[in-house]
Amino acid sequence: MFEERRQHPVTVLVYFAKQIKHMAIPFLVFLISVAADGGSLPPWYAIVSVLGAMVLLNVLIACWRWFFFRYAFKDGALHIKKGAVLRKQRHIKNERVQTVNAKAGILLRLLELLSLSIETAGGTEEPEVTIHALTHEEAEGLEEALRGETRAVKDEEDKMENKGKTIDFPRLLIAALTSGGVGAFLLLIFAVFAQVVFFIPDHIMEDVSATVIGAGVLAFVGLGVMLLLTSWGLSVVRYIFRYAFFRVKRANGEIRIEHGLLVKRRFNVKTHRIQALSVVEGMLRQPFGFATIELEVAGGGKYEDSFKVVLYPLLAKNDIQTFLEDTLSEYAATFDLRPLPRRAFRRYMIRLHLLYLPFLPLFVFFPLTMLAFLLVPFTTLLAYLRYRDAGVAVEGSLLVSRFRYLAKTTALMHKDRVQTIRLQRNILQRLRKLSTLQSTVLSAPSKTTFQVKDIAEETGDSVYEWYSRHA
Amino acid sequence: MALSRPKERIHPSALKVWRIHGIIFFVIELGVALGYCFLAREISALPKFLFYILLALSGFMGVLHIIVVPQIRMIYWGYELREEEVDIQFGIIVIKRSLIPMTRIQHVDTHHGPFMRLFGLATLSISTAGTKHQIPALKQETAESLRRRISQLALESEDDV
Repeated sequence: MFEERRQHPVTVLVYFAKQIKHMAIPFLVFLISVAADGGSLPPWYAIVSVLGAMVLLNVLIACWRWFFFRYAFKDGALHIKKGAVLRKQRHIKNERVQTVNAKAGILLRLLELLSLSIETAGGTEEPEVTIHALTHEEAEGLEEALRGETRAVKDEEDKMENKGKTIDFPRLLIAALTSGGVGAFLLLIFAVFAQVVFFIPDHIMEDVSATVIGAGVLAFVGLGVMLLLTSWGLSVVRYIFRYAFFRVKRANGEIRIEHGLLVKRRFNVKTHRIQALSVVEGMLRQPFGFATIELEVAGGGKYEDSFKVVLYPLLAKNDIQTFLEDTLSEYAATFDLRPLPRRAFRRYMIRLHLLYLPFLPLFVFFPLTMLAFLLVPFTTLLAYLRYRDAGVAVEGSLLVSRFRYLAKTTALMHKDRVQTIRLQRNILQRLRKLSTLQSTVLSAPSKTTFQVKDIAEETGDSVYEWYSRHA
Repeated sequence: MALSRPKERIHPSALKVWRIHGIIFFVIELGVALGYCFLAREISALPKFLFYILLALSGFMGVLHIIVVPQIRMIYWGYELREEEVDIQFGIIVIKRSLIPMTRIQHVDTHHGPFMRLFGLATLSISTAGTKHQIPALKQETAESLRRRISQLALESEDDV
């Protein structure tokens, strides 16, 4: 219960930075493109005065936004008032609040502040409300109020404070090295390069390409390796910054996840919002016996880059059982996975290799592309692994679906969280008595369907019967 | 033990409605072929033989959509409404079988297009939080009573998300 108040004044800076970010890039691009075209830049005083006006205007807007944003908690609801000309009021009842996430960047941490985003049901990427800066005390009060919690419960939770699982540095490093974030950074580098290349004067480009071509194939390979290593390094650094000081614990029917080196984040996930748990064994991690544990959570927004919540970044396979028993015992179960029947193998092999079919004309016209056949051993291996790893199991109220695209994924879901079960069989599958099993659960932003292809018909039917509530 | 087929079938007039849809589709394709014929007469660069291919294609698709597909659809369509769940099976090449528990159903509604209305038929749609399912071509009274029954049953079966 507290009175109407404003965010911490530093919010002005936060608003300002956000506004400027949107304007600065088009402005810079404009300047650079004028310069690159060989056109004359406007005189310096014009640039400075335009810039000055832009900054001043944005400071004023930011101040305005901060001054007229007020929030209060009373009668079991969060009340937000925004704006002076266009007034907006919003009331969020605490039972509608799904999650309250906290985040603190460097600036906020220096001032011992944090920002809270409040998520309600509904599949939007943006949080319903973000309070950009408030003290830890205020945040705690607000979170408690939104959870409808009393002081007594809070005390009990404090006693459990020592519980919870953290990650040590060697483990974090392994996780970072095997995170597979190389691709994203490679794309980023190419994207940046594609933007920048327009601004590089032609004669420099020609010089560079002449040097590279002159140096021969080795230079190309070297350049490629360098690019790859750089991307890898960047992805490792990002991963470490993101997941350092990872801690997960369970308290009061909630899972609390905290992590971050510079930018600290905290998620609270109510256990009854958890719809499924996946054990993901990435291709780089599986050989070392490591897996990541992820959650599908209904409602709420984006957590990092994805809508999935990382429950634990890297766990040895043998430790998963104990970890789940401590943290999320609802999903700690031993099960006998029913593997695919042998007759499914051929379908897995053919399905993956059909991907070569569209390229056949290419092979005819450009014989060099036949080099693609060097990939065949890898796709054959992948098809075999997909076949070998797939399977389903039913254990009590749990359904387990295991499948692989690249990473081997074991999804566990409870019967009363599954939205629908679907069995799908095409003509060939009917001939071979195989079915494809799809189970759909809610997740952010809307739903996730887990699919296992070509399970034995009777296995599929037994899952269907297991799901049926009909006697 | 193999699953038994869902007990209820959709109304036989569904065949007629699907065939009408097939005929409309066929007429449009024929129109495209004839349109091409006219074009080819005006613009000599366009090859004539393509017209025969288009004609043959529309004939083939016509037979498929007017005769074959509706028949196959009819064979596989089935549904069953139980107190706890709705069981639906349908498909032409890929046969899909879905089980939707009452507790997951968020809303049901009925609607009908002009041809459905002609035969006194309606389509029932069932939505869960993440998925949408349809049972086409039920007698309007059946669809209406199913809709009421499902909303009733869905209301009664209370367990949270």
